[in-house]
Amino acid sequence: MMKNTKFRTIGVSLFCIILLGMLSTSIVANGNYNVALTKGTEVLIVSQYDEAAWKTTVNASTTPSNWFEGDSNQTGAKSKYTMKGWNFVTWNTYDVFVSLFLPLLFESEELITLLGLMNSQGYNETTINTNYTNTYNLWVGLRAAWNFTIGIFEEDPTNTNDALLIFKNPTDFDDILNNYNNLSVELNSLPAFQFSGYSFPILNAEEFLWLFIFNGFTLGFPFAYYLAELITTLDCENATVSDNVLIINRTGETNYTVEISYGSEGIMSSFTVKDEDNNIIYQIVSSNSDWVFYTIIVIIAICIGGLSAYLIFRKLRINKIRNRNK
Amino acid sequence: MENRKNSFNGIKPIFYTIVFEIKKQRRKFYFFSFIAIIVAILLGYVLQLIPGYLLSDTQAEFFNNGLQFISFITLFSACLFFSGIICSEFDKKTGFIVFPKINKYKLILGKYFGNLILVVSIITLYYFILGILGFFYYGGPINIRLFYSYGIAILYVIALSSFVTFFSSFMRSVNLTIISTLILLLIGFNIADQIVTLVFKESFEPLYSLAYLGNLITGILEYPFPDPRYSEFSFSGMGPGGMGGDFSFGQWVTPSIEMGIALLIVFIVFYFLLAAYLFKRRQL
Repeated sequence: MMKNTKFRTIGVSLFCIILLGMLSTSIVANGNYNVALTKGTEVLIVSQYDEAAWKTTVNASTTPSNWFEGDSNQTGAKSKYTMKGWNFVTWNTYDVFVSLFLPLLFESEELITLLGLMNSQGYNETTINTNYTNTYNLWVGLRAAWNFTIGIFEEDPTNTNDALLIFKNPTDFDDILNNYNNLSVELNSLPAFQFSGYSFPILNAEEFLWLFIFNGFTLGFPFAYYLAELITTLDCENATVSDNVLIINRTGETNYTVEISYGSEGIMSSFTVKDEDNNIIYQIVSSNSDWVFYTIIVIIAICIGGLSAYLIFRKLRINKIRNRNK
Repeated sequence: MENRKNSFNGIKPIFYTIVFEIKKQRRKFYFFSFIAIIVAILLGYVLQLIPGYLLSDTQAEFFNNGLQFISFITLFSACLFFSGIICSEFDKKTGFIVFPKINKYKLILGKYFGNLILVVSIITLYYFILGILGFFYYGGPINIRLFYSYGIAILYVIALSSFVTFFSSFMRSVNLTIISTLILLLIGFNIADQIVTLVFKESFEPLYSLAYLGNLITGILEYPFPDPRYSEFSFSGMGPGGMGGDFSFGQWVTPSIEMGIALLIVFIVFYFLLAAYLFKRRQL
């Protein structure tokens, strides 16, 4: 009796620990939108690339490598992302400026110079946050990223800390963009910036969204509502939403459409460029090996079940023979 | 045909002993299997349920983190499974029987292989769970270095078993063998390694130590393989006014692959020969 109680207590405790771990995400994420990230690896594959159509439709002087790094301009090239973890944080305007906009607009080598220049002009963290008092709640995900390659993946990732940003409230993007543009106007008017040759571009909603898509833009759950709210907030004329798919109309050599669908985690799962006649010019699709894993688990479960059934059956038969001999 | 039948008859007692030993030790096996499963799942899955606990960048790093307790599992299982192989025969006086029904060497061999099968199964279970979880998080293919690590882990278990069997050949009781081998393997070798490293620094590698050789199980998973294998951390200028002087802390990370494998084989042969010799002498 005592032994049973002990086992029951241990069992319940273990179950509680596991349940707590599983629920910790939703405890943190209690609000309008939730994070849907899961740890694991996703592979992106360039399934289609029509170079001639790209040159005549999108841009005669660029290739998909200008959007995605590595060998993304070759059919069959693969890229890999391993989701490592995420945290719920609160950012102020300075954090958004430094961690979101600067990496979108400048090379990493330029960031130290820019920050030094801003600091010398009195635009440090305290000043910016005093003038722009907004705060934003978001999840910051970290993943290891391997650039597109036509060969096999290197052992070590190209980027060990590729950040994904999920703003809890998509309506925040309006303030974020306005604050950035206002701050940019202030900074651009400073003589120090005019002499240095650096200037912060003034972004409209569509330009911002386009840049953000390639640099960590991730959706909160439910995705369709999140996307719709985002597009409404930013008032993007050339963007529409259909379920989990963001459709952007763009103009290059001629008009073309970019369709980005977001998968079960809110991360880009496919990227398609189409011309005006709906012909696919370029396409990236994602894949993972979850089904192989679950197949293995099912096979193991069947084997264990079969073995257990055999042992139980054998035991019963032995007992039966023993009883008969008595 | 007749020769083959005779040799099969010769092997039969070993086979029966193996089966008997496996049945006899099954409770210990269930316990260690349970521990191995729990540790592997805790490290490889439950910890990963916490979003803020970052998953390793690569599959090999994930395996490396998951194998941090493998030395404890191998060590405890080796000590508990192999400690009674020889000394229990003398503890229960069966070793002194003048005309035994089964050849004593065949009996010892059967007992050893029976226990080895169980310990290797525990290690395999641990690696299998880790491999499955590695596949779950990183997809295929499984990094080849996990198989190298598994091979070295088995070699390490055999080396540990030979060490424990050697102790079992001259110790009086099973408990004494377990305690003495655990103390030596858990504490003794590590203290000796630290003293040697402190005195000789990078000029002397503690290759005599089984605990140090065990580092190769996880060391082989590192990419690139650690080079240099000796690392030193220096602290200076601590204390008031930076007058604390210079301190350094050195550590041998892992043996080289070739040297590690060669020495494990040498230890296995050495301890088994010694154990066989002592066992023979003890019977006289």
